[in-house]
Amino acid sequence: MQGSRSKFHIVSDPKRRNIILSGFFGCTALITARLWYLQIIRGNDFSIAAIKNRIREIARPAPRGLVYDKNGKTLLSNRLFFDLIIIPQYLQNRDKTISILSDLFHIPKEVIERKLLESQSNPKFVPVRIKRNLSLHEVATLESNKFFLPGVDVDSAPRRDYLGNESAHLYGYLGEVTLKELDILNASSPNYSYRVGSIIGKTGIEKKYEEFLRGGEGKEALLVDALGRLQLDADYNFALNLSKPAERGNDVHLTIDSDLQNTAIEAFRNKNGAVCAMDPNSGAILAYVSSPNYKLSMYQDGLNGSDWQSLRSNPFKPLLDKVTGGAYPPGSTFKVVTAIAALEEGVVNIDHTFNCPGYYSLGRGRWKCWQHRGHGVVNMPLAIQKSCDVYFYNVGNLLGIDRIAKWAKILGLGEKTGLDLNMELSGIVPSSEWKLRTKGLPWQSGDTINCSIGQGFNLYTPLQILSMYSSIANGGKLFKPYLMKKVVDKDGKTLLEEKPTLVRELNIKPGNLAAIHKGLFDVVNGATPTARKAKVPGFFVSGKTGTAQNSALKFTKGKSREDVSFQALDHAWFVCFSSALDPLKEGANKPEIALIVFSEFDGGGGGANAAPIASTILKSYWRKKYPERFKQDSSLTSSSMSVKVHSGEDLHSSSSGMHIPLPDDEISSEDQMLPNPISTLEN
Amino acid sequence: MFTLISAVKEKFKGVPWILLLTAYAIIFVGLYNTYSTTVAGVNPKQFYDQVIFVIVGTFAMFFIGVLIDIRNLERVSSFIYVVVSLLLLAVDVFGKNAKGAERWLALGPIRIQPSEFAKFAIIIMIARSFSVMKDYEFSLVQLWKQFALIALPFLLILAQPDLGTASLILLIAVVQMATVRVNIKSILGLGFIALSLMTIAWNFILYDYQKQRVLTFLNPMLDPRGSGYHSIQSMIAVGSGGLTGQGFGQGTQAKLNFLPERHTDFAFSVWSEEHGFIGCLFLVVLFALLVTQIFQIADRARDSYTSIVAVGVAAFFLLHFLINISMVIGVFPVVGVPLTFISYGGTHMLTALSALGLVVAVEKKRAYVSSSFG
Repeated sequence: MQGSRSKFHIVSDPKRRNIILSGFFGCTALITARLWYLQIIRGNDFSIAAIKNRIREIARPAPRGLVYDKNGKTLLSNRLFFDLIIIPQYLQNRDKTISILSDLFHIPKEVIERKLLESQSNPKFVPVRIKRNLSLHEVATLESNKFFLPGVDVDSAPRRDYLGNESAHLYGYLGEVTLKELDILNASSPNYSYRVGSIIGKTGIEKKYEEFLRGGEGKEALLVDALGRLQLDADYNFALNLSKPAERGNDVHLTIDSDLQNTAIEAFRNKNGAVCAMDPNSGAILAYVSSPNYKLSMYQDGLNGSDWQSLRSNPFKPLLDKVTGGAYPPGSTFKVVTAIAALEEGVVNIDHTFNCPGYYSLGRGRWKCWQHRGHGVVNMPLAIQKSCDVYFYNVGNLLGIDRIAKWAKILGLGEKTGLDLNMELSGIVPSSEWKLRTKGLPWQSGDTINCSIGQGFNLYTPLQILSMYSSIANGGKLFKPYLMKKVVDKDGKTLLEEKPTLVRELNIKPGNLAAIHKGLFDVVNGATPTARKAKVPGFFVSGKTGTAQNSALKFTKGKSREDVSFQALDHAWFVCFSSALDPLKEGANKPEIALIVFSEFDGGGGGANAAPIASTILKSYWRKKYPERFKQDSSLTSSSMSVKVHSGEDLHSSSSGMHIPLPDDEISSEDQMLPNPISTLEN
Repeated sequence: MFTLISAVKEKFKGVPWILLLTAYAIIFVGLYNTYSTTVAGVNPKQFYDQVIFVIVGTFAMFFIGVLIDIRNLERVSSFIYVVVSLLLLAVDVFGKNAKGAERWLALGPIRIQPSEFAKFAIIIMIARSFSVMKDYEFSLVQLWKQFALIALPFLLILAQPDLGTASLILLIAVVQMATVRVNIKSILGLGFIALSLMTIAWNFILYDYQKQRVLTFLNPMLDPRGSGYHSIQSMIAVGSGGLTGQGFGQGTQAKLNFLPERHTDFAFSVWSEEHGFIGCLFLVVLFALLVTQIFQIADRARDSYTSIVAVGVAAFFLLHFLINISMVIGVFPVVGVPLTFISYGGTHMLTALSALGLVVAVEKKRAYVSSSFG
């Protein structure tokens, strides 16, 4: 039997076996070569790839620097907030996860789906924020369910704690950087890299001092497994070497006086417009209010569409910073420009008088004074005190627009003040060249008449007017307004200190300036003052009222009645400065505070409606500085000056006929050639 | 007492101890690697299971290699083949689902994978089919019986569907037949038929996920998070091993689950990551030694059956080795082919050790025949 199965009959061929074995050795050699290639030649690359697999770098946003007021009181702080995030890369069983999240956090499924969809263009590991600022209860709920929800996590981040300081326009809101901003910011900051999702200051000081406040973004290198779960294994703590803690931003100390700021907010409540206070001797801003306000925390919680729409469509424009971002007809507050121009150009001297019969005629045109029965014979200080339109019509006509424009520009109008906050406007200083350039029309002498009392084409920001009055108050130095006292790093070292910047010396003759001061003082304290409500007993207040007609009046045709009724209302201005000692006396100390109150669409006059607010604010300022002087006053006196009492008085004074009569029929022929012939009334 | 020892001695006469040493060296590496992937990982039970599989497999190996005569095994080849085919049919009908494929058959507490046994069955069945043929050279037409024998388990496994194992059955049989003197014309004809079959398979038989695997094999980067994920992660694991590796239990790719199937199909990745090029070379050399020794046994075999059985077993080790490692190093599509002795898996361990037992039996038979002549 064995013989029949001899080697001769074996069907398996040794040669072919050898071919197969050789093929096997060939393949094995190739495999070895491949292993050599992967492990030796490209070993480093793959090691890096393995590290990238397991190490996830998570950016840790830095706490922003704190913001303090001039006395070191904290205005803006930080607090830890928690967000619900989804990391799409690690999301498993998407539909189930979304429905669980929807149930747990009461978010509609569609909202989660939409948010995931919106971020589809991002890399898959970029977390999608589903809900911001979770409550602690919500955080606990998520933590206990996290195991069943791969890809869902809690992200914590330090965010602004506004501490109740909600002056939105001053502080500004924070938001995620847009792609457009990203390019600009990264190009301008070589030492700092913004990325998608970085939170930046969008407006206000958050934006202006972004480079100081932002801090240094930290990163955390986390060891994760393939499902993106954090590994707390001690063996792998090498991952932590790559981490870098976030560094808090530098602290910014503002020139703002928070007490004054709060008083201003309180006094200006329910008004639209702007209030700003400044130290006239330096340009340091003490209070900065724009109204209506909006809630900064609203942005932080994630602004929804309807909130945004209501902010945008609000006719009183809560998003607009009216201190710097809105230019308005200045009304009679502009008369000092005409006055200074006239005196400095030598067109009139202080004692030159004009007779005010209650109107002014030029050619076939006729302009009314706000005081229909006329002011009689008035000189410069008297004209300022009484805000006599006819006097300034005369002076303006003698000056011509270009000399008025020259002095307006010297006084800082028509150029940005340099505060550089919230898209500052430069305003419009009308001149013959300006009108030709922008409107293609030659200047009419009637234009000059309108412009000389602050109507017509004049448009200025409240800050410009305040800055101008500050320069008058301090004796002729135009300072750049500024908000920042100093920047202090986290160790308490001062990095930067802002000093007052002189824009220019006005070089107004002292005599002329004194006459202007006299006029402004008498506006509040004179025999027939237009702003007696601005008085602060025991202190000296000089100022100027303004009641600016809104040019919208001409264009109300075709608008609904409600819109007309508020858009046609006058703007009430009051700008003033105050000192503890008599400013008219030789060697007296200079005014310490300059203040502007601008009430948009107020409907009342500057003296009636804006001056009392100024008085309240000034009183607060002085009470803080000289509390002993107020103790002597009876409590009755001080309370009688409160806003509420004033609003009652306002009704009285507004009944004394301050509504605007339209220009007379006789002047209508010239009227048609003038784009904006509006007469102004003053109380 | 003395007679017992001499009887045992007699029984173990001719056992190729060097071959067994090589095989058990690989098995030891495999256990060590399984320990790293499972005990230090999440599922320590799998390591102990694997130890039990090795012990059971060793008994099977000695049973086949030492206790029974290979001649008797030859006689029951057809029976084993039929039983395995029935099991495969049972899988297709009652099989347990694992990742879209039915490969398991639950027999009480144990789950078996009949497609693994099919590898064993085809080795002995093909050998058996040739041992009864007396011709010196064959044409393909004469081999119709062998084709039919291959086709049955191949199609049953393909229906599970398990392309990897089905192809392995085919390839083992093809390697066995390739050592048989088949004339060139027939081989060319076979090539043509194979090509046609592949075209048909691609268009009508292959499932989408299987096609996808082939396609992403051509360019794994096409879909790094999907089908290419396995390849890429495996290459990262292998590559990050470097020269000496990350050290035992330190492979992050495996430990942190980036590597899929790390204790089964991608066990070699773990070995590469933790022991580097040197460790890989060690294992490659061991496998080369194992396969070479089995081929030498085939050379020494005294008859067609034992010779073809040895070739089949060599093909078994060779093909698993080449396909699995090619897959792991990213030069072959990810098909479910384990690395013998290294990958976790009871049925495969049992099959591989049984196959080793076949070689032991072949060598022992030759030694016995030689000694009886000598």
